[in-house]
Amino acid sequence: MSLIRGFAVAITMAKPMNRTGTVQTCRHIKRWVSPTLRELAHRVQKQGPQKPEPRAGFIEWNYRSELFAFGKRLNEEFQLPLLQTAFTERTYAHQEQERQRKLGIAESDLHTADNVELAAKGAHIAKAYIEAYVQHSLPKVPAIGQKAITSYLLSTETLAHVSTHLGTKDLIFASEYPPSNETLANTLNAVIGALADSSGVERAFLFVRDFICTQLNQKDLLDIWTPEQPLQLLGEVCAQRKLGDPEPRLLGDCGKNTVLSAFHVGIYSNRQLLGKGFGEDVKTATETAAIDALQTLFDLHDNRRPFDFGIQLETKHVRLEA
Amino acid sequence: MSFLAQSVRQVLRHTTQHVSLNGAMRALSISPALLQQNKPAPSTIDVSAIAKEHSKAIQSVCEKINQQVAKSEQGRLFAVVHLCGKQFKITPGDIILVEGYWPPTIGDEISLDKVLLAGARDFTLIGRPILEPGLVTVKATIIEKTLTHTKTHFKKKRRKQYMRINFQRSPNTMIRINSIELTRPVEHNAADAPPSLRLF
Amino acid sequence: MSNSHLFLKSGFPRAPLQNGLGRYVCQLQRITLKFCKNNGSSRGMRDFIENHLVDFAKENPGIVVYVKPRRHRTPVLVAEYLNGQREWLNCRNNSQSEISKWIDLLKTQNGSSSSLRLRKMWHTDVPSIQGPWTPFLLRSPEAQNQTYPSREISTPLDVPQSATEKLIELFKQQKLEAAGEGGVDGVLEQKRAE
Repeated sequence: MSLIRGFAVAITMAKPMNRTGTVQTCRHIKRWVSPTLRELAHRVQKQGPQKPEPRAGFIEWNYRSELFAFGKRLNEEFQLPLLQTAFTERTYAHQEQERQRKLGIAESDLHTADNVELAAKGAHIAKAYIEAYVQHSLPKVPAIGQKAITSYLLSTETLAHVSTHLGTKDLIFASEYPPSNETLANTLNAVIGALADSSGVERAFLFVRDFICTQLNQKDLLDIWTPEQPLQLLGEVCAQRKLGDPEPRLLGDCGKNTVLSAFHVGIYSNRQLLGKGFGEDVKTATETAAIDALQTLFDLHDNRRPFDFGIQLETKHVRLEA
Repeated sequence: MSFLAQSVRQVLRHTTQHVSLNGAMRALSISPALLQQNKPAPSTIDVSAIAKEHSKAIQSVCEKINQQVAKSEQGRLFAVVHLCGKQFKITPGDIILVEGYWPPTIGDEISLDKVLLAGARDFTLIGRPILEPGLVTVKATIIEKTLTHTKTHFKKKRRKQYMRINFQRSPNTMIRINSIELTRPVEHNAADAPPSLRLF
Repeated sequence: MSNSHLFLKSGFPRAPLQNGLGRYVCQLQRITLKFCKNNGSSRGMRDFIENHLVDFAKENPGIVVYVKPRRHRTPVLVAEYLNGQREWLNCRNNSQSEISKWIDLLKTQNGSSSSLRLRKMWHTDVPSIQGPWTPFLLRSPEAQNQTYPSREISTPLDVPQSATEKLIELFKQQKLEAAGEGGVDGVLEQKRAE
C-alpha cells in the first residue's frame, strides 16, 4: 500500500514539472464538441421548421395565476371561472369530453363549459357600443360609411390583432396551437361577455372603447371607406342638402400632353368651392376633387377633430336590444 | 408678457425714429440734390391711429378663432412643444421619444407646458417665445422607459499601443400625446396683460 | 470590436396596440427568475428573491412571476411581453440592487429594446394639418390664361438701370434745363461746340 502511495506522490510531483515544459497545457473545448453540434444542426435542418411550442407546456406555468394576472393587467375585475370559460373553445370542450369518456368517467360528471354564449353576448355588446361610438364621433358620415367603419373595427383581423396583444394567445384552450384568427377574435368577444357578467356592462363598454375603438387613432378613414363613384354620390348629397348641382371646373394645369401632366380641378356648386383635387388627367382629377368635396361635407379629412378616447357614452345611447 | 408689451412699444418708437433718420441721411448724402427722390415726408405720423387700426384687426382675428373654437369646428390641433431641450411638433395620437435620464415612469400622465406654437387648419398661435401658460393644454402619457441598443465607442491610435472600447446604452422614454386643447378664448390684448410670475 | 451593430435591425418608434390611448397596459406579462440554490454566482438573485420578490409581485399583480431553481447554472432573467417577444438576461454575479434595476427595466419596456436601432424620435400618421404646399397653391387666376413662351414673364422682375440709360436720362434732363434757359438755339450751339 505504502508503495502505491509513494508512486502516487511521485506522479503528482511530476505533473507540474511536465506542464511547465509545454506551451499549451490542455484543450478547453473537446474534440467531439464540434462534430456533435454539426450533427445536431443537420438533424434540425432535416426536420424542417417546427411548430411553436405552446407556452402552457412549460414547467413554469400556472394557469390560475395567469388568469388572475390577465384581469389585473387590464385593470378589470373578472370572475375567474367565467374568464376560464371564456377561454375555452367549443371544439376543445368536445375533445376534452371525448377524452374523459374514454377514460371511463361517469356521464353525469362530463361537463365542460365553453365560450359560445359568452362570445355571442360579447359580440353583441361590442357591436352596439362601436356603432354608438362611430355614430357619436362621425355624425356627418352617411349610414353606409359608418357601417363600413364599424365592420372594419369588428372584422376578424382587427379583433384578432387586439386579442393577441392582450395576451390571450397562451391562455386559450383550443384544439390547435397557435390559435387561428377566428379563435382569437371569438375569444376576445367572449372576454368582453365575461367582463359584462363579472363587473357590469359599463366596464365592458369602457373595455371596448379602450382596446377596440383606439384602433381608429390617426387612421386614414378613406382607407376604410372610399365611396365608389364619388361624383354620383356628391350629386345626391348636394341634392339632399339643396346646395345646387356640383360642376367641375379646371383650376389649373401643368405639362399638358406630356407624360407628367397634372390637372387641378375644383368642384363648385352655386359658385361655392366644395373641393379641389389633382390628377394625371381631367377625369381622375375630377374624381379626386369629388372625394375631397365629400370629405369636407362628411367631415372625414385628416385634419378633422381627433377621436376622443376618453368620452363615456351614456348607456341609453347604446342600443343593446335589437 | 411684459416682454411683448415692451417690443410693441419699441416698434412704435421706431416708426418716428425711422422718419427722422431718413431726413438725416438725406442731409448727409453727397449725391447731387437733383437725383434724390425728394418725397415730401409727412412731418408727423399719427401713431395712435395706426395702433388702433392694428388692434382692431387683431381683435377681429381673435373673434373668428374664438367663434370657431366655441363651435368646436377647429379640427385637429397641433403644437410645437419644448421638452427636455428639444422641440417636437405633435398632434394628438403621436409618439415622441425623450433621450437621456428623465424621471417620469410608465403610466404617468403629464401635461407639457412649454408650448411654443399651437395651430389648427385655419389659424396658428405663435408664442414669443412660448404661449401664455394655461392657453393650450397638452396631455400625454408615458408608455415606455427603456434603454437604447448598445452603442460601441471604439478608439485607437496607430503605432501607439492605444486602444479603448466602451459600450454604452442610454435611457429612452416613449411618450404618447393624448390630447391638445385650447382651454380658454384667445385674448387680443394679451400684450397689455400683467406679466405672469411663472417662470420655466 | 463588435460588428454586431452593423447588421442591427433599424426601425421607427411604435407602441403596441395604441397603448396609452384609452388606458395604459403594462406590456410585461410574465417574468421567470432562474437561479441556483448554492452557487455563488446566484447570490444576488437569491437575496433578491428573499427580500424583494414578494413586494414586487404584490406591487405588480399584472405580472406573473415564476421562480425556477436549477443546479449549478448561472442566474437568468427571462421576460415575456404581450407582443410575443421574449428577452433573456444573464445575471451572473450580479448584486441584489443590480438585479432589481434590471427587473425594473424589463418591467418598463415594451419588448426587447436591444434588438432595434431607432431612426426617428417621433412618429405620426398625420404629418400635415394645414395641408402640404403645391405649386398650385395661392396661384393667381390670370396665370391660367397665359400663353408661353411669354416675353413679359420671362424678363426678370428687377432690371437695374444700365449706364447708357442713365446717360440718356441725364442728357435729356440737361436738354430740358437748357431749353428752359436759352431755347432751342442754345442747345444747337452747345452741340456744335461739343
